[in-house]
Amino acid sequence: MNKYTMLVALATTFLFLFGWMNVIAFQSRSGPEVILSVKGYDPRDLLSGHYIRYQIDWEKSNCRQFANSRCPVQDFAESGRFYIPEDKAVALDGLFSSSDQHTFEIVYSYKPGSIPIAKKLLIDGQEWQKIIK
Amino acid sequence: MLPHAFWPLLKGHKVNLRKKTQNWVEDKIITSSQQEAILAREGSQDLFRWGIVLLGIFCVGLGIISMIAAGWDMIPDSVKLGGAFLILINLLIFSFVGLQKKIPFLGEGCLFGAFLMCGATIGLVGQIFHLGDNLSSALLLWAVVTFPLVIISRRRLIGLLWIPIALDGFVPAAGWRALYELYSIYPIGSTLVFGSWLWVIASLFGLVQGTFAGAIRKGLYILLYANFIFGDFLLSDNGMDFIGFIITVLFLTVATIINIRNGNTIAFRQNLFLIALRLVVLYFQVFISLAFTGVGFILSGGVILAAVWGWNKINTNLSIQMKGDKV
Repeated sequence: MNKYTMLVALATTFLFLFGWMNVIAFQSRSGPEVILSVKGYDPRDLLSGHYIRYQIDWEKSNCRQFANSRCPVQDFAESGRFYIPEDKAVALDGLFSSSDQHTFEIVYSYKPGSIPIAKKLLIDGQEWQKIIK
Repeated sequence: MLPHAFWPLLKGHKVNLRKKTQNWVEDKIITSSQQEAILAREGSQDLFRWGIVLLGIFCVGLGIISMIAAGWDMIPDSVKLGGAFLILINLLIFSFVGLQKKIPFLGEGCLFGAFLMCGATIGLVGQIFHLGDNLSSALLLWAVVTFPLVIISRRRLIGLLWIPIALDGFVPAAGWRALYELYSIYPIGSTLVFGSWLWVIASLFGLVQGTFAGAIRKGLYILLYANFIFGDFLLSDNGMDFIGFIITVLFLTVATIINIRNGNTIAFRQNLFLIALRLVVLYFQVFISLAFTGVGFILSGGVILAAVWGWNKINTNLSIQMKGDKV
C-alpha cells in the first residue's frame, strides 16, 4: 500500500476518535444545565468500575425548566449510566435501595437538538461525593 | 528483546525456515516437494499462532487496564483521556513504521493494539462523560473508526474481529435476541439450518474444497462446535457459568488430544486458541472485582504467552535435534 494512503488511513482513525471526544467534551461544558429525578439500580461493569444504571422519573421531574414547560421525553434515553468509584458502589447501592428516603437527581447538559450528557449525580440536592465519603 | 521462541512471528523466521529446509533438501533429508509442504503448513499455521500470541497480549493489556481501573478515582479525567490518546497515537505511529519497514510483528502487532485501544478509548470517553448504556452505538462507532485499520492490515485477524463488532453495531439487539430464543427452543434444528447457511456462504466464497465425504465431515465438526458453544451460552444464561466452562474446555481438550494423535497440528492450534479464548470469557462471566480480574487477566495472558513460547521452543529443539542426528 502507498505510504501516503496508509498515513491518511491511520490519521483518519485518530482524528475521528479525537474529534468525537472533543465534541462530547464541548457539549458537556457548553450546554445549559437541567436537573431530572431518577430511580435506578446498580449492576456490574468490568472495565469501568461500577456505575449506577438509572431511569428518569419524569413524574417527579420539574418540567418548567424546559421550553414551554414541557418535558422533552423523546430527547432522553430510557435509561442511563452514571459511573462511580468501585469502593463507593456498595454504599451508593444501599442508598439507592432505600430510595424512598432520599431524592436522586442527575444534572444534564442539555440543548434541544443535541444528545443530553449527564454531568453530576445529586443525592438530596447535594453532589453524591458529599453524602458518601 | 523478543524471546527467541517468538522469532517464528517475525518475517525473518520464514526466511530462516526456507533456508533451513533448503539445507535439508541439499543434505537429502527431505525432498523439495516435502520442503514446499513444510513451508505451506507453516504458513497456514500463522493465523492461529498469531491469534494465540495476540490473545495473550490482549489479556495482559486488559489486566493492566483493570488494575488501573481499580484505582481509577485517584486519576484526573484529563490525565486518563490524555494517556489514552497518547497510547493510541503511539500505537498508530509504530504500526506505520513497522509496516513501512516491513517488520510485521511491530506493524501488525501495533495495528492490533491500536484496534483494541480504539475500543478502550470509546469506553473511557463513555465512562468519563457518562454516555448511557447503548452498547450497539459504541460498537458501531468502534467499527467505523477502525475500518481504515482493517483495510491496512494484511492479517485476517483484525478483520475477523471487526466483522462481529460491526454486525453487532448494525443489527439491532432484538435481532440477536430472536436468534437466541430460536436456538433455545429448537437447538438441533436451528443449528442445522444456520450450519447449512454458513456452508452455502462458504461455498460461494470458494472456502469449501475437497471431496463430498470430506465436506460432510467438516460440516459435522462445525455443527458439533456450534452446539457446544450455544449450549455453553444457555448454561451461562442460567447462572451455570462454571459448568458451561468445564464442559466446553473438556470437549476442546478431548478434541485437542485427538488432533495430537492424528498429527493434525492446524486443528490442534485452533483448539488451543479456543481454550485460551474460553478462559478469557470466563473472567468476564465471573467478575469479582477489578483488581482481582486484573491480576487474573495478567496471569492468564502470561500463561498463554508462556505456553506459545514453550511450544515454539520444543519445535526449535526438535529441529536442532533432527539436524544433529543427521550430522
